[in-house]
Formats: sequence, C-alpha cells, structure tokens
Amino acid sequence: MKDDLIAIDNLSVRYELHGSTFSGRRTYVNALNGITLNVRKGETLAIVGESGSGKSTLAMTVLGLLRHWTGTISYNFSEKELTSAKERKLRRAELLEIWRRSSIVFQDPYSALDSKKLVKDIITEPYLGHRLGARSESQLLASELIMQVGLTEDHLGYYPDQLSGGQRQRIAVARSLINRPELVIFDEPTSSLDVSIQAQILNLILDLKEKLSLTYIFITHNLVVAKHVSDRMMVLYLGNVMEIGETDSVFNNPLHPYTKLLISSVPLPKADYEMKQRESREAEVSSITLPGGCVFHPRCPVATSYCGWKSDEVLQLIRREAYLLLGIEELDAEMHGDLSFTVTAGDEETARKLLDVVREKDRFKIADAQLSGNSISFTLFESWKPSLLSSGGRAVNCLLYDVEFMTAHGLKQDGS
Amino acid sequence: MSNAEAQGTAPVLILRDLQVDFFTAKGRAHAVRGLNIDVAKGEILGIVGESGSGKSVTALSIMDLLPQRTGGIVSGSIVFDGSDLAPVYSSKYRVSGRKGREKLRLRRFAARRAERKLAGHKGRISMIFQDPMSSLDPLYQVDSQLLESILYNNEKFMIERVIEKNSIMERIGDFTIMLQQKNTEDIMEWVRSNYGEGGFHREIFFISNMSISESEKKIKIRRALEYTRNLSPQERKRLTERLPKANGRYFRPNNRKRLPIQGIGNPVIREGMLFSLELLEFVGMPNPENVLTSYPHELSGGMKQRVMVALAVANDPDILIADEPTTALDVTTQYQVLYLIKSINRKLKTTVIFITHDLGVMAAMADRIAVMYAGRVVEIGPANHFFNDPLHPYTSGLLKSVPQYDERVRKLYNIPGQVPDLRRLPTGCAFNPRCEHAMNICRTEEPPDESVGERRVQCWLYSEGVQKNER
Ligand SMILES: Nc1ncnc2c1ncn2[C@@H]1O[C@H](COP(=O)(O)OP(=O)(O)OP(=O)(O)O)[C@@H](O)[C@H]1O
Ligand SMILES: Nc1ncnc2c1ncn2[C@@H]1O[C@H](COP(=O)(O)OP(=O)(O)O)[C@@H](O)[C@H]1O
Ligand code: SF4
Ligand code: SF4
Ligand SMILES: [Mg+2]
Ligand SMILES: [Mg+2]
Repeated sequence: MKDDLIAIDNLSVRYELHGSTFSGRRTYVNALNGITLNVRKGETLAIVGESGSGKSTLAMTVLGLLRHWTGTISYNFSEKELTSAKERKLRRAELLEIWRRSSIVFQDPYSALDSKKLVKDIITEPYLGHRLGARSESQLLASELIMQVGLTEDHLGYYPDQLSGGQRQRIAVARSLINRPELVIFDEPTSSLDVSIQAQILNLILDLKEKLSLTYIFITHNLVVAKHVSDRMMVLYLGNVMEIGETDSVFNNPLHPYTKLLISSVPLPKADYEMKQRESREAEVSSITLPGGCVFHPRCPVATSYCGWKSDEVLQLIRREAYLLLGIEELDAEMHGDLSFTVTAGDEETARKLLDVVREKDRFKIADAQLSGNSISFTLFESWKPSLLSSGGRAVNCLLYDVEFMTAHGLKQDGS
Repeated sequence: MSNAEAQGTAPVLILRDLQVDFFTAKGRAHAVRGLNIDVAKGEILGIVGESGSGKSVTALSIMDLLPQRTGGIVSGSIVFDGSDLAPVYSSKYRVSGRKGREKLRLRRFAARRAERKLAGHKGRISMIFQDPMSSLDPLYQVDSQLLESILYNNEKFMIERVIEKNSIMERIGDFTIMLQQKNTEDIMEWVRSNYGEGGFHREIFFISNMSISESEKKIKIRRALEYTRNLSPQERKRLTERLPKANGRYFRPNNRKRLPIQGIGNPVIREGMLFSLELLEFVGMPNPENVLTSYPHELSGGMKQRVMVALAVANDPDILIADEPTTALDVTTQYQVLYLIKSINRKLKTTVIFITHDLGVMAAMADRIAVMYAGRVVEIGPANHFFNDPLHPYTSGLLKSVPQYDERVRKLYNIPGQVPDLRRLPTGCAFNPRCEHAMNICRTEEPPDESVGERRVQCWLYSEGVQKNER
C-alpha cells in the first residue's frame, strides 16, 4: 500500500534456549506469534504491553537485527522500494538499505552509549559504519545535530560519563538521526528518566518528527506516555496483537479485556484518584508453552468456555480446589486428550462432593461431567482461536467481538 | 480523612535538621541538608523529587544503612518512638579532623546510652528497596528467607498462633461457630473478641486481605486451622523451646534442598512455613507453592518485588519505607503492589513512607506529600493541595511536566536546567538558577521554612516582607 512505510504479515519469531540441545528436545521461546501490522508513513505508532510481550523483539526484527523469523516484512522506503523480505532471506544489500533508512533509540541512556568514546564519535559512528559519506561530512552533520537536540558543540568533546541521563538520551537521539532515517524506533526512551527530563525528551522527539517528517514506532509500558505521543496504538500480549486502533479511541473505549485491564491499572496524577480492590486472576503463563486458544484466557476476567481451556489446565484448577476445599491432597487422573479426562477420588462420597464443587465454579468451563462410582469423567468445550478482526479502523483479537462466534453460541457481547 | 486523624496523633518519627554528607573524590557532597519531617502515625507520607534529590539517602539514614566508610549522618536527629537514633548510627561513621577522636568518644558514649533504650526496636521499621536483589539473598530459597525473617522477629506470634488455633480445633463448638460467621470480617471480629488480637487474629487479617473471593478466603481460614490440628504432647512441649540457630541464622544455604537447622517436625517451624505461604498468597503471587522453593534469580522482577513486600510486612513493622517499589514493574503488577501497600496501611495501620517520582503513583498512595529538592524538603502538605494548588515553583514545575491523561497538550512544560551538583550548590535558594520567579534575595539568602495553612514551604515568595517584584 502507498501510505504504509512497513507492512508486516504473519510475523513469528522464536528464540532457541541455550543449553537445551543437551537434553535432547529443543525448547523455544515464542516471542512473536503471527503479528500482522502496517506502519503508516508519518505516524507515531505506540506499542504497549507487559514486560516479555515481545515489544523489543518486534523492533529488532523490523530493523533486520534478528535473523530467525517467519512471515513477510515489506518496506516501502522512499528511494528504493524493498518488497517482501521473506523468512530470513534478507540479503546484505537489503539489510544495509534498512539500516540506512531506519534507526533505534534504546531505553537505558547509561549503558547504550560506549563510555570510552567521545560524544562526536558516538554520533557519527552509524554514519561512518554504514559508509554513508566522508568523515568531514559526518563532523558537519554531528555539529548540526547536536544543536538540533538542544546541546552545544562543546558537548561533542565530552565523554558520556560526564553527561546527565537526559543529556545522554539527547546524544542517543542525535545519533539515531545521523543517517537521515525515515523510521525511528524508540524502545522505552524515557523509562529511566525523571519526569522533568522526560518532558524535555518527549518534546524534543515530537519536535524533530515534525521538522524532519519522520515515522516513529514508540515502545513503552507507560500508557500515559503512549497516549501523549502516539497517533495509533498497538497492544501486545505474549507475542500476539490484542488490539490496534487510533490512540484516543482505544483509550476512550478500550474493547479487548486485556486493554481494559491495562488502562484501568494506570494511576492518574490527580488529587481524587482512588484505587479499588480487584480480584486478581494471575496465572503462570510463559512464552515457552503458550496457552492454547486465546493466549490471554488464563488471566481473562470474562473468558468464555470456548477460549482455549485444556484438560491439564482444568485438572490443575480442580486439584487446587479439591485440596483447598475438601483437603484432598492427591487426586488420580487419566487424560483422554485435550478435551476430556477422568478423575478418581478415594470414595464415592468424596467424588460426589468434588463434583458439586466443580459445578459451582464457573471457572472450570466444563461441558459435561459424568459420575460413575468414585470417578468423574469430564468433557470440555472445543476451543476457538480468536483472530484479529478489524472494523472501522479498529482491530480486536477476542472472541467476544467475533460476530460469527457469538451468534454460533448465542452469546451477547457483555461477556455472558 | 486520614489527614485529620494524622494531625491529631503524635508523630511516630521525627527527622530534625538531618544532615548527611558523602565524602567523594571531588569533595564533600551534602546529600541531605537540614531536613525536617514529622511522620504521623498511620499516614502514608509520600516523598517526591528528581533523582539525586536525597530521597533514598533519607530512607537509608532512617534504616541505618548508609555506607559507613564514605558517608554518614553529620548532625540532626531521628527520633523514633521517643528515642533519638542518630547518635547510635553516627557513632559508627568515620570521623576526620583534629578533634575527631574526642568527638568520637563522646558520640560513642551517647550511643551506648541510646542503644540501651533501643533494645527491642528490631524489625519495627522495615524497608522495600528500589532494587529487589539488594535485599534478597541469592543463596537461599524464598521459603527460608521468609522463615528466617518470620522466626527472627515473630517467634512469639507463631507460638501464639499454634496455641490459639489448637484450642479452637479442640473445642468443636468454637470451630463451628467461627465458620458459621457470615464473612471473613465477622470471623476476624469473633476471633478478636474470643482470643484477642494475637497471632490468629493477625493471620486472618492477612487472609481477609488477599484478592480472592469470600468463599476462597473461608477455605484458607479452614486450611489454617486444620494445618495445626492435633499436636502431640511432645510437640506441645517443643512449643516452649527456643529454636536453635547457627551463625545467627536458622537456616543454612544449601544448593540442593533448604533445610532448617531443626527439621520440619517442630510445630513453630511448621507454622512459619504456613505463614510464608500465606504471605506469598497475600501479596498475590501466582503459584506460591512453587515460588517458595525457588531461588530469587528464578523469579521475574514483579515476583521478586512481591517477595520483598512479603518480607517487609512479615515483621509487622510500625513503619514501612518503600523506595520506588514499583518502578520496574508492569502497570498491572504495579497496581496490585500499590493496592497491597495501601491496604497494609489502611487495615494494619502501618505507617508508610512512600518514595516515588511517578506523580500518578503518588496520587494513588499518599495522604501527605513532601517535595525534596537538593537535600531539603521544599514543600510539605496534604496530597490534595499538592495536586490542586502547589505552592513552591519547583512543585508546580514538576506537575506541569507530566503528560496529561485526559487532555492532549502537544508541548510539555519542562523545568529549565538540571539538578545542581551537591558539592557546589548555588548560594541562596538551591533552586534559583532554574526558577522563573527568582528574586535578588533568592540568590543570596536561603529561604526559611514558612507555614501556609497546614503546609510548610521554603520559598521567598511566601515570606512576609519580601518585595515580590524585587528582581
Ligand atoms: N536472546 C533471547 N534469548 C531467549 N529468549 C529471549 C531473548 N530475547 C528475548 N527473549 C524472550 O522473548 C520474549 C519477548 O522479549 P522482548 O525482549 O521482546 O520483550 P519486551 O516486550 O521488549 O519486554 P520489556 O518490556 O521487558 O523490554 C520474552 O519471553 C523474552 O524472555
Ligand atoms: N554511596 C554514596 N556515595 C556517594 N554519594 C552518594 C551515595 N549515595 C547517594 N549519594 C549521593 O547523594 C545524593 C542523593 O542521592 P539519593 O538519595 O540516592 O537520590 P534519590 O532522591 O534519587 O533517591 C546524590 O547526589 C547521590 O549521588
Ligand atoms: S477471547 Fe476474549 S474473552 Fe476469550 S479469553 Fe480471550 S480476551 Fe478473554
Ligand atoms: S526562593 Fe526564590 S528562587 Fe527559590 S523557589 Fe522561591 S522564588 Fe524561586
Ligand atoms: Mg524491551
Ligand atoms: Mg533513589
């Protein structure tokens, strides 16, 4: 598409865990799982999500810094159109083109800059490294940029250690602009800065965008900052896109249950802000074995019976409840695949009590339970995998917004 | 509301003219310069300020955790519960200068006197650190760290709990009446009136404040009771024995399996184990049973932070100091940790000193807010005044520089300049080079403490008799 700078289609990235080759089976961290996303020319796209949701991985993949991925990334830089870099087939020439046209600013202003180099060498390094021009030109550019980021030429002769956190972040911004990029990715650029310094850096970043007509991808876990800087916002969870839309409309009317959880968690700097108690539904989730169905279902407060519950998950919940409620420490179980299993209690009486407990709890998402003697056979519902469905500039990845699913199960959109 | 309460009660902690210096290669840095704060009983006092303004140093001075070689309390007092801690602390610091030795002797003398008074204060102030790894021991599993702390400070409480719970279990009547109460609040009340505010009452408090449903809370209370059922006569006898220690600890580090010096057979240790589990459940830890047997490095940032909160509240402290406890957390986890600290304050009446530079977090937590700049409190007063009507130019600058949630301002305000070097402070008001309202007097004389209603502020703008237009 013409207006898109980058189009990402079904991108997945996984990391192989070190040391796992010895144990025979390889284990992988599924950092990104089928991301589809367009970055429009001239916009600021914010990416928000918890730690480990894959924000930095996405940034690095877009910049061609990670090699092992599947899917398609199409770049539409102005001078040379690079289409469809498919499945780790980026060649040297293409990589170089990407590095010329894009750059990144990292979170930590203390470790991101090489402390043994002078500021001027730090700024010109990408320029000279990618052989974009002569040394003398780079010096001129550096002096120009250092003024643009609000420092003076004197600062070119400093070492990073002699500068404050805010000044270092300015240097990092200057460095990211020396290759005259079209796309700049900011990975948590202000997380380690004080509010007043954060304000300076955010102002600077937004000013430069206007002056140099740049496109930004802005990664942050601070939702207030995301709201301040961005035009559109994407919410990531366990390497899946949960919701994308215009920033204002996402904030004013979040649709996905995870987006709602995130937004309601932000304390606001106001005198009358009150916290409310809420029932946490924290489950141990990991990117190694992703939850089936909807990846958010173990934590979703409005999950339906079709959101991906599997035998082992439900059995674990039942065991826990059996222990807490009935004092049963061990419960024999036999699995018959993902959707059915049999539990055997000590005697018939206990089995009946257990069944009552299970029936009482809607969390168990049981389709059917048969009691015979001292054992109970459970059957679960077939799960649906939600997909990112868009309507009116807004895309949501949740079954509750899937009309086909909702009508098929006669459900209403309030989660009932 | 709790402000009014706070004002009525006597302060639990009084910092007076506190001064802390660090000796650096380039000279003396005055990290805290004449700090005055009264912390009222039961309040949450927030401390805000840019990094380097002395927030952590203030907290560390209260905890006696300043690095003893490179810096320390130079003067002033830290009065906790009627006794001054500062002489005790500062006696350990190095003293230089000609009259150093004589001074040191006097200080030690004062210290010995104060130390005697302080006996029994251990564990009454506890702290949650900015960096979780600094207070978790990488060599010990989570359970032994929790148990160590519980047994060290609360051995008595654990014994009480075992005894109380046993007598409830033995009297069938009590057991059923208790569980027939409508909700956990009623159960707590029943226990209080029948068994007093001792060990078991406290245990139910923790259970009733877990973020789980009412029925799950009842289940946990039941579990708590059944856990200590049927003590044998031997076990009963062991209740009164003191637990053995080696090198001052109950546990040994061991890479395979963490075992207490004395086995799990001891009912007090068993009770401590249960309490460790309950504490982790209380702080909303996912899979608490697994976390108990993990090492700190196996936990995520949020989990480590929660272990630290659990450790800090295990001691049932009078004062809890939290230094940026949620800076490294995700918003969802942050919300839970904040809620937890707030409910510890509201329900256990623990006084909290909460340090943060996130003004949203401040709004969620603090009853009163102290603004620090270059080692001083430049403004202190109720939280609603802080947000609605800031006095000090630095305070209003801070507030204006936060992105607003409901309205979009493209350009954020920023305070010009930066935090001054503490070794070369500007003369007069330390904020004057950055202040829009700076007058002549600001460049030469330090502003005194002025009262404005219930607030105190250090700024010439609020001093009677200073010409406002004297530029
Ligand atoms: N080099 C690596 N080897 C193995 N796993 C990795 C590696 N880098 C990242 N991961 C894993 O990939 C997932 C996504 O990580 P990523 O760094 O993209 O998260 P993030 O959203 O940027 O989080 P944060 O907010 O903490 O920066 C995580 O589960 C992480 O543990
Ligand atoms: N161990 C130390 N040695 C020397 N200077 C220190 C030490 N700890 C803190 N300081 C200095 O004291 C001042 C206040 O620091 P701190 O209280 O940590 O600030 P913050 O308000 O960010 O918590 C800073 O200038 C800091 O550099
Ligand atoms: S599909 Fe929607 S309702 Fe179901 S678990 Fe996922 S977010 Fe929750
Ligand atoms: S005393 Fe003067 S310089 Fe300091 S804050 Fe007040 S007006 Fe500004
Ligand atoms: Mg990251
Ligand atoms: Mg600090």
